[in-house]
Amino acid sequence: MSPLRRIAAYLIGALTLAGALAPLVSNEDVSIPEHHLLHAVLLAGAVTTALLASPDTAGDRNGAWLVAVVGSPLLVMFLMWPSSYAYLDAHPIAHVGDHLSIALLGFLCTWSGQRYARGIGWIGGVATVSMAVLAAGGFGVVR
Amino acid sequence: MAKGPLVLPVFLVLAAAAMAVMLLVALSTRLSPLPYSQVQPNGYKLRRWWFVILSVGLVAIFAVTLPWFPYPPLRAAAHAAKNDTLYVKITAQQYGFTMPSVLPLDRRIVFEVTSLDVNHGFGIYDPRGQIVAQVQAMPDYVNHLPVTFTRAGRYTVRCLEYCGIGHASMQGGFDVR
Amino acid sequence: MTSARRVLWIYLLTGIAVFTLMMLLGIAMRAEQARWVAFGPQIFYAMLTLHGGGMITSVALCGMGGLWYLMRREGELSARAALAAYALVVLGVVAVLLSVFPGGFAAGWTFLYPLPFVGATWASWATGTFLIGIMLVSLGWTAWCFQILAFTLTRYGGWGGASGWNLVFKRDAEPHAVPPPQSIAAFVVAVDGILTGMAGMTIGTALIAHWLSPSVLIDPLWAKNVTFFFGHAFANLTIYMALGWVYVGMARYTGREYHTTKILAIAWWATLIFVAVAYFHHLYMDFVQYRPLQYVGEIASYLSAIPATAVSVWGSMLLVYRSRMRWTLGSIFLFTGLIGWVVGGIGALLDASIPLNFDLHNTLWVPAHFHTYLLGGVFLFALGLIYMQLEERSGRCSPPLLRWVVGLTTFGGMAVFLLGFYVAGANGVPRRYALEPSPGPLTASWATVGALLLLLGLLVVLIEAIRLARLPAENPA
Repeated sequence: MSPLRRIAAYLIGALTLAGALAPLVSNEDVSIPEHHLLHAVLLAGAVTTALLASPDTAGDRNGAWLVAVVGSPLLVMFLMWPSSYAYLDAHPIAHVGDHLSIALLGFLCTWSGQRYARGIGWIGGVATVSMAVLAAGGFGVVR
Repeated sequence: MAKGPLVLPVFLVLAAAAMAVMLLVALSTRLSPLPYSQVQPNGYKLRRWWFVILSVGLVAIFAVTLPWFPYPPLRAAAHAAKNDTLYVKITAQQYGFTMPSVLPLDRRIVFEVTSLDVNHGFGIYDPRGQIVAQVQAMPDYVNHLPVTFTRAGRYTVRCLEYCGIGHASMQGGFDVR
Repeated sequence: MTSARRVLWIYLLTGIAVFTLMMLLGIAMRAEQARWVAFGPQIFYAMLTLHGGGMITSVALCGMGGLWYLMRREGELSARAALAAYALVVLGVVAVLLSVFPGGFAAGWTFLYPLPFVGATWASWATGTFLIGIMLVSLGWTAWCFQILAFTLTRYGGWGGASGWNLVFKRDAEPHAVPPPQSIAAFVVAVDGILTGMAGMTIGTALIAHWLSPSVLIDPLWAKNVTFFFGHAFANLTIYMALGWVYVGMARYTGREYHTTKILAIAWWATLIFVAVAYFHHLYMDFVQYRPLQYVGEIASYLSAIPATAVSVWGSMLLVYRSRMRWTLGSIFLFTGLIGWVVGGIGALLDASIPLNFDLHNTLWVPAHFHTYLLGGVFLFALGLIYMQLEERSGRCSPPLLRWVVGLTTFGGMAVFLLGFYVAGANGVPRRYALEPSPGPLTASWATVGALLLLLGLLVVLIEAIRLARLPAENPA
């Protein structure tokens, strides 16, 4: 891993973690679609970190990696349950926990993908971010 | 105008042509076999023509048929300009429609179609029983369907989106005169 | 039997078994529409829901097993992972089955929001069980796609190799690193499949959330888009999975070789895009949909005919033309499957034309065309694969008289059955009506007769398959 890539991984990872802590300093009201999109940004940070940090090995096709790639995005969707947002807005610590879990799952999906076979982390990560963006269109959202 | 009955002969002719070509290819295996190196170059040459004809043809059909697309004009101003347009509200609900019983002949009508519960379809059948227009009736949205009736008589409206076990009985109608 | 073959047969036999059950439901529904029997709307729509979901899943199972087996012949693939994906799909099918019988869930396999929750004549648990079932199918499907994609990426040297990009743009691509046609197909199916599966999980989660806490609202237009993106692509990909073994089978029966060319790779990239965006044609009659998407839908639907006819069908026809083709039941099914795909495609193109869709949308024209390429295409491809395996194993094929009997009953019955749909659709008979307006009952009567004839033919196909399977193996695996 080149030093530049290592620095970038740490930097983006740190920024993502800092982003996850946002509810501690701001309790601004955001609408549900905005909230989904902010989660997508968080996921994008986690996915990028995982892509930068994952080793360039060929992958080992362990079934556990496959379970993590397929299962994590689904769990992310459940953590974006819109009717929980009101509760989370009132409880910053729980909210940070929610954010950390989302970021961790995004990281896990991508990292496991890369470990399963190189290249899989890319599509797994992109798909996870896309799901969060897609959710902003209608999951808990009406006109 | 109802285009449904025209579609069937067009389909049958195209389908029969495609089947005939493919069956001729199948029958060609009864002739003395040719080496593949002889078949392939000619086949690829012919394919180039097929590619050009099909791509140009399909894009041309899209472009030429644009004026027949049933969508209302995008700008509201274009609606308002036609001030003789009659706006008619249609509300669908499991399992019926709320709508007027009489509508005018030869006048531009814009149906404003919505639903109070699930997705429905607002399908208009002319007095001969052919579909002449349809649009989806959706909750939370209003679809604008422009229609001008040129034939007087009794029109039937049927639901054209599966909406529950009463779907097949969901119908209504109006007179055009 | 090797473990690879075992995986293939587990998928295939489950697929065919589910297909057969669903076919019986289909015949029962056509008989009801013909007014020969009367189950009543509650049972009719429950059958309709199960028939749709079950059929798509059954052909998908055949496709997944077949394509997995072809990939397994190219290199190392985990049978355990394939069986895990299979188990998830089958669990999903069982859940859907329970939700419908005895649950009574009847919102259609397209589960268009908010229908599963409004005016329901079934219990809430049935809705939940159905949604969980769809989610399990979606998960199993996604896991299968990830496994296949991982395989092609590793086997052919990353994205550039597996997609055929290196072949098209780099002149020095090594011949042994070029994926064979079935592997290009597998790559495209897996990429589209992952996107599809993710969309399925998104809408699935949203609906489960609404089921558990009704205060979670969903935008109906968004739900329609995501549901059809998932449903359309999932159904459409079953055809493209089957093409993998059509390529292999046609080459084998004609004794000619089918290679990956630049054109073939580019055609599959086009297919990758068209499968993902053609679904907009399901929303033509939603006039509030963003207008350019309607145009994209029509153009993508139209242009998908180019890779299909100019590459896959054309390539197969060139293989057959004046070859030493061995006409066995296996090759006949593969060849007629191509005919069904093209004929159904013509019906689809007409329906994908917005001015015509205005008259055909949600009429019986829709089941007319998709039955043509699912029954007359993908299902025949699956039979072709089964017979190809049986003929190869036993070194025998069926006698000519039997081929004629099968041909006349199966294809004759199929044609009569399908024409019933087309004629009714062109005359505006709505789809998904338990009681159809005229001329629905008349065309449903022919269709039922045609379907019964088809069933008779398939019975012969089954008995002959059992006979071939019981012959001593000449080429044991």
